[in-house]
Amino acid sequence: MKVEMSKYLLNQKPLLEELINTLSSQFKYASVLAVDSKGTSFGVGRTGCQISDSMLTERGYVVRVFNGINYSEYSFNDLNDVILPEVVASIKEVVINDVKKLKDGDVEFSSYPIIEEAIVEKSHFGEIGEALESMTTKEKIDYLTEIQQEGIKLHDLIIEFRAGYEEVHISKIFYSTNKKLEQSYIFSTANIVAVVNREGNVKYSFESFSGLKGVEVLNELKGKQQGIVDKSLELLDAEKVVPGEYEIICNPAVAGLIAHEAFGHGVEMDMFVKNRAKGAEFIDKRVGSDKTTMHDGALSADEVGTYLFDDEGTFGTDTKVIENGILRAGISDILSALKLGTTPTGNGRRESFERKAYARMTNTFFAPGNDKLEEMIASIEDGYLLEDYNSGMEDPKNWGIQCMIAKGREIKNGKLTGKLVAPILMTGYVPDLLNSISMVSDGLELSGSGFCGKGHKEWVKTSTGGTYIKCRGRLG
Amino acid sequence: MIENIKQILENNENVHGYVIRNVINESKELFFVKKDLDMNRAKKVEYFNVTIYHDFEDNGMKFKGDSTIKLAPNMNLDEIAEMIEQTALSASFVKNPYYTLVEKSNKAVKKLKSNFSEKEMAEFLPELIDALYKYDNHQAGGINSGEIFITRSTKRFVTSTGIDERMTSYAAQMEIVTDWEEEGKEAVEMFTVLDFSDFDKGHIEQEVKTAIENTINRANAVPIPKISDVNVILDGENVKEFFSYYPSRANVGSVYTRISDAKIGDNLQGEDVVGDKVSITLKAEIKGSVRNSYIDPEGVIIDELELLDEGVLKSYHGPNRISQYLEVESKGNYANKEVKGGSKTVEELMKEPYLHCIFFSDFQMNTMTGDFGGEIRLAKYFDGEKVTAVTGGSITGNIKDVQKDMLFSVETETMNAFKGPKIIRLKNVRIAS
Repeated sequence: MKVEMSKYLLNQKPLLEELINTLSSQFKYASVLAVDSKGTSFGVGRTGCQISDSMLTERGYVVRVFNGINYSEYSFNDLNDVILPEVVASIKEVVINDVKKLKDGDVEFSSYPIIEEAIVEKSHFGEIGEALESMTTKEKIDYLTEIQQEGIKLHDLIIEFRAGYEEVHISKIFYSTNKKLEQSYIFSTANIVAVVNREGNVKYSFESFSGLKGVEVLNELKGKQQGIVDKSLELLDAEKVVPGEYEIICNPAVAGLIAHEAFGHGVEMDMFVKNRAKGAEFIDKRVGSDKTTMHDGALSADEVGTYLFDDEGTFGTDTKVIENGILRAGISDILSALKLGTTPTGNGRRESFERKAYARMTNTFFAPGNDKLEEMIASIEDGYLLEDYNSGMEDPKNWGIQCMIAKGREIKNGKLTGKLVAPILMTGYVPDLLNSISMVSDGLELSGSGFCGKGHKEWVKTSTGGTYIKCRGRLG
Repeated sequence: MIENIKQILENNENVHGYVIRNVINESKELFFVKKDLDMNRAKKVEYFNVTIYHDFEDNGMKFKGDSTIKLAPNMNLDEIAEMIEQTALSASFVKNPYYTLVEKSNKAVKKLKSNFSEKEMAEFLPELIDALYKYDNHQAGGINSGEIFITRSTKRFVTSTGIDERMTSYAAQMEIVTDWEEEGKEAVEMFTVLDFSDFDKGHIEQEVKTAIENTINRANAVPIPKISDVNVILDGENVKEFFSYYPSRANVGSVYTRISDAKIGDNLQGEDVVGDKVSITLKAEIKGSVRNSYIDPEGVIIDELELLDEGVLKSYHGPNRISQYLEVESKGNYANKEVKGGSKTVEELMKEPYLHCIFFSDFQMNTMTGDFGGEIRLAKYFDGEKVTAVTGGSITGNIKDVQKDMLFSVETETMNAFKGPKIIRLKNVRIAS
């Protein structure tokens, strides 16, 4: 079914036009992003259940204006006929008065050209399988309760089993002097978590599902409880890995984490502007083995990072970041592209209308190859199959890697031994790891259950994934 | 608008209780690349976060469901009434065993003080810029980029049980990236975040100076040599993260779900401790913390709570609902914690060989399992004779393996929502080089 645009935003269109006309008469560039996103989060666990607004729920506006040297922005969440003059006055306060005070204080400004835009008017309305309203709130809670109740009874050592579901309906309008864009789409996520406790030794595992989907994502939870309980139980007997460098196979989740943390952040081009990214020196140079191809883009896949236009009104694209080991391109917001003289890739994203736009990832993954997982395992004498992760952290300037991996399955003489190590901290130098990629499996798995931060803030929804990759990594 | 929301809530027969958290956030924001201003921003937004409670019975059992929505001034009264109706309906499906809401207390809620209230926010910006760049006077590096945020939050907290409190708080944040590149060596950078609710120019200047010095040290650092059986020393934010384990064990949520089996009077640090014993007090206010509040999100008036005394659990803390399920007094939700200093001075703790981890890419403590670790971006290795700046590699461990003989410095320091030992010394930590 087709997703419908927010009625609130549709009603606001005349006011948005008036706002842009008013600002454009005084400033050389003005744009407004209006957002009305409604999401609901459902959760069921031993402590009870909860229904609340998703953290992605927002309704508000951000205006960007050329202040004569660069750009100023004002975020607000009330706009109607009566207060429009007040809003315009607040914008002028930021664009004129605040800028003047800073100049008077001898602050130097970085200059930017005017954003040039072709005249364009375009809409995008996403498609989902089943409408969010096709299940009532009670039916959604009952469904999760059933999943949770089935899960918690599966083993005596289970102390907590949680089931969660989140649905988000995004609607955005972007108006500038030349652009009139609108989009509305829905994504949803679902997850289960099993926590086990054996004599104070607490372990847990989780599994999540996501996509540009409606309530049909809930179907993916069915029958998954036993698997996640088994994964938690086996962690109770996991040993510690002996620190060292090993041949490793990363499952699609770990491969996605590497793509995202190790390299994706390093090609965000606002980092190029700041001279914070080593990647800037490596365009058209080798950074990985021939087997390494990596994509990012709103149009590179159909997942939670997919959209028509970004939060600066630039159309989304599919960027081939690495092609057969050669770094080809970065991903950029519009201001970084203006500064660098490149074409923006539609990666200018905001945590919310309240925040600044930065160059951000969307759907990031290693492209599939032709190898089979069984062949990859058979090729390893002494190593590990790494599965799933808890977290990762970027280091765009120095290309360091930190990935907290959930577990590793020991491989000896081409066979899985049944021994498990956990947790594992994988560290190293990105090009070393990418250059060591010797096998890449077929198939492509993406997951959009999490959020991506920049530094320690600015959370946006992204998907990551890929295939099984064989490489060398330092484990501790 | 809050009066209209109250009226709609009170006229809805499916609403049996409510909490309204109204906040107006106003901010000024500056974004610098090197010494040049790249963008200035400002914000004014208002929200009403409303939790609605619905009481019901099923098979003779009493339940209280709740659901939360975010309302804003851009909604008309009809829309708000419809959203409240839907939220009350949602609450009626949330089958949580019955409990009572926090009642209005006779105790007065202490007011927060901040010197940011002494003048307009915009007037602090020049001083914050000065503080950021005071020590940025090197050729080979310094401030790569910086972001400055200053936010005033005007809040009102209203409940159906008669609580009606107003407060104003300030939060400033500076995100600072420092870099350094020496001839023939690889360029490096470090990332520092400062959060504060009181303006102390000298403190910011010192923090930036230290960040630049650490970046210079990282630029000159050598890879960590193969070392084992050496004491690991943590400092700063990493100490704060390390000590997040114990409050999590003492949270009623962890206890109710049996993730924690901690009972009042238990020694959470284990028996036969030969090192320093852990004493933790939760606090409503720590000077400069952006998380200060003398009333928690459910309306419990809070001040100080002794959590652990020499390793022994003195009290639980956490949500009112779960506290009632456990049949313990609801002590409230605290955002700040203070860990008592230890028995040795910093100098004494650094007499034996050590690996002093100063910066990780992201040091983490898993409060559920006790596993901790991180990739080292800057450490100092003392081999017994000389101190060398090192980088790369990682540490991993589990708090249950180190808590018996860990030592804390006598000297303490305060950073945002934490006050605690300046350094802690751990044994039995795995080092990957």
